[in-house]
Amino acid sequence: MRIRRYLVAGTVLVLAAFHLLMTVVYLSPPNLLRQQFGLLADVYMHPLFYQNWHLFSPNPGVTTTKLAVRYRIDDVWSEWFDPVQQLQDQHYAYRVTGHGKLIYVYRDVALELRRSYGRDVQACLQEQLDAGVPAREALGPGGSCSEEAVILRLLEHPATAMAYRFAIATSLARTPDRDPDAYQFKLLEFYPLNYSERDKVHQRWSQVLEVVFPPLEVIVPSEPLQEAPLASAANSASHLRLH
Amino acid sequence: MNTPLERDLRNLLTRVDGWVTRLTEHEPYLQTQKLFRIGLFAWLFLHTMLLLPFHQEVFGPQALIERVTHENQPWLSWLLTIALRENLQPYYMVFVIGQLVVLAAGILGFAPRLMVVLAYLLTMNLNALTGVVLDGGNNLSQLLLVYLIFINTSGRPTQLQRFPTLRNAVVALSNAAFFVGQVQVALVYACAGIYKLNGELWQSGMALYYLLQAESYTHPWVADMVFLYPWLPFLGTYFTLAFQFAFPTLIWIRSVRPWLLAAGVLLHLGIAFVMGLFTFGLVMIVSYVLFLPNELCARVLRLYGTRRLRIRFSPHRRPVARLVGICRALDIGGRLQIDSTDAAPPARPGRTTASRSSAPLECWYEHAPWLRYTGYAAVARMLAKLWVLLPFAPLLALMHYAGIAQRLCRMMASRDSDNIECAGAPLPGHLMESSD
Repeated sequence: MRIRRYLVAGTVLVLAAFHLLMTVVYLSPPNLLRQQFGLLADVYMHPLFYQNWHLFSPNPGVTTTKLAVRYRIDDVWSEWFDPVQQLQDQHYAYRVTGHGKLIYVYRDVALELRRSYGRDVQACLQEQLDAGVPAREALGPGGSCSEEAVILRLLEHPATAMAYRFAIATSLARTPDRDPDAYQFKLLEFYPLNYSERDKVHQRWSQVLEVVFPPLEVIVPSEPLQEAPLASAANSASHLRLH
Repeated sequence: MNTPLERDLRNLLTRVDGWVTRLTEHEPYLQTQKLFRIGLFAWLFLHTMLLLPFHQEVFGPQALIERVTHENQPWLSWLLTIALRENLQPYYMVFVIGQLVVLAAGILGFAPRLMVVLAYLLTMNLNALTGVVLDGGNNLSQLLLVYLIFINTSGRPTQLQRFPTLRNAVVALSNAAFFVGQVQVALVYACAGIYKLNGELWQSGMALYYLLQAESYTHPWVADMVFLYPWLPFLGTYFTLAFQFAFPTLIWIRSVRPWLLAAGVLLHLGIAFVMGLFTFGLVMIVSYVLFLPNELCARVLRLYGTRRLRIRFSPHRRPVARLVGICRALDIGGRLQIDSTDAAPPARPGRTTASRSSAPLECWYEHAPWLRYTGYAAVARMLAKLWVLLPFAPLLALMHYAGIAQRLCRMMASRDSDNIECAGAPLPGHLMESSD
């Protein structure tokens, strides 16, 4: 009886120690333990014990990234608007509601696009530098890493398609009487004021990155649409054309 | 010959034997484990309810969320991402309602272990649908749910007396999983702190100064405060770092634990309300239940139990009458029965005539009418019965711990003294068990 208790205790202890060891190895930075047991730890920890504790580390994301959207009706473009502003205001007012979580959905559209933009620029720049092209030339007007060139390449990217869907959905929500003829969005990234700039009372941001994507035209189909406008505009590309 | 080595070995064996007995026979944290299960389930319930008004935009197939399914997955990954199948995505509400029902059943104590397993499966499926809205709090809740499968959260000792070895194994697993859960929470802080040390902004104390300017993690008046008083975020940055290193090292020292937990509650309330990460702050506070003493958890369970509370108050005391009126309006479950002092009170056992208490506010539980609470003790029990205040329980606990709640209560009523006899009297033995 006593022996069985010791066996049980020993087994449970070994299991617990193994689990804790795998957790520590999984979370540790590159080191000898990770080198030796990293693969085993990855296999063991996924999917039940997946974890990532980079909470605002090593450096917190301090920029504000968002999309500004506008639409055109009868050749007149609307003002650029922030589709998430109302949600943000509600989140500021009611801290204990789900608005904060919903903002994540729309913020991620902009963040993913920004990440894709950054990755493309980095990859392009590296390629050009390897080919002996100076960075200034690659990034300058007409260069293969210029803003226009990057945007053209990003048009094929899923993140851009998602951003266009977002622009269409939010524009349609603001125009219940009439569907717009075209939609456009721009990617904005706001950088906070540096500590040395804190006395600039009339300035909110240190700098703003602005990347304007080409407008999306709506081609009027010859036959009436079967689906609801929101679903057809947001989901089908057959009657939309990029300029 | 009784050599010192033999003596020490014998002592060591005795201690090991005692330790093995404690691991395989004793369950010293039954109420803590039960309260933790209720707290975690309540958090998951709240999290899903907060997303329910936006269910189409968050869970729906047309949500602006990129969802990727992989072919040829291991069976466990497949089980945890069933909701991602294209033909099942339109039926996401089945998972949502299913999760809410399971969590409600789990909170009420119905088949706790089965509910934990079902809650885990449904939660993981919902999380697969809503990848982008998840944060560190969701990650921690997923891990704690796994550990909870092995922990005895019924609040009652494990039976299985007819199968002693099996009972030893179940008890040992429960105790080990409980400890591993505590270590997991400590690891969260340890990792977060170590990773932060690699960042220049954290090293220089400027992380919060810049972070609180980002729209997603601030509030307009907080952003203004940051410019006016830059030393506040500076101190906050180093406080965060200090706490994240202090927690995993000092939490195991019982005398320091209450201070550490109080500091943690403050930190996470700040994260919840200042930075707007409400659910993250709340789940970190819920995880602190793992470090609370069993006796305290037993008292909390009794306080928030389902037994009705009877209240008598003086309608002539306006602050008291106002408070009682608000509680009456918020009493969704009908757990308060409120009488004014004009109604005759029930007779206490051993007395031939009913006597009127002169306290402006008095309450007692229906099952123990001889045990009366007045003043702050009465207010605390009244507020504990209101379901709507449950998300604010950490804030109220902190106010109680710091003495703020008691001071506020004294300001409200001119006759403010607790009925120390009653509030301090121990409950009879058969009432020490949990209410469900």
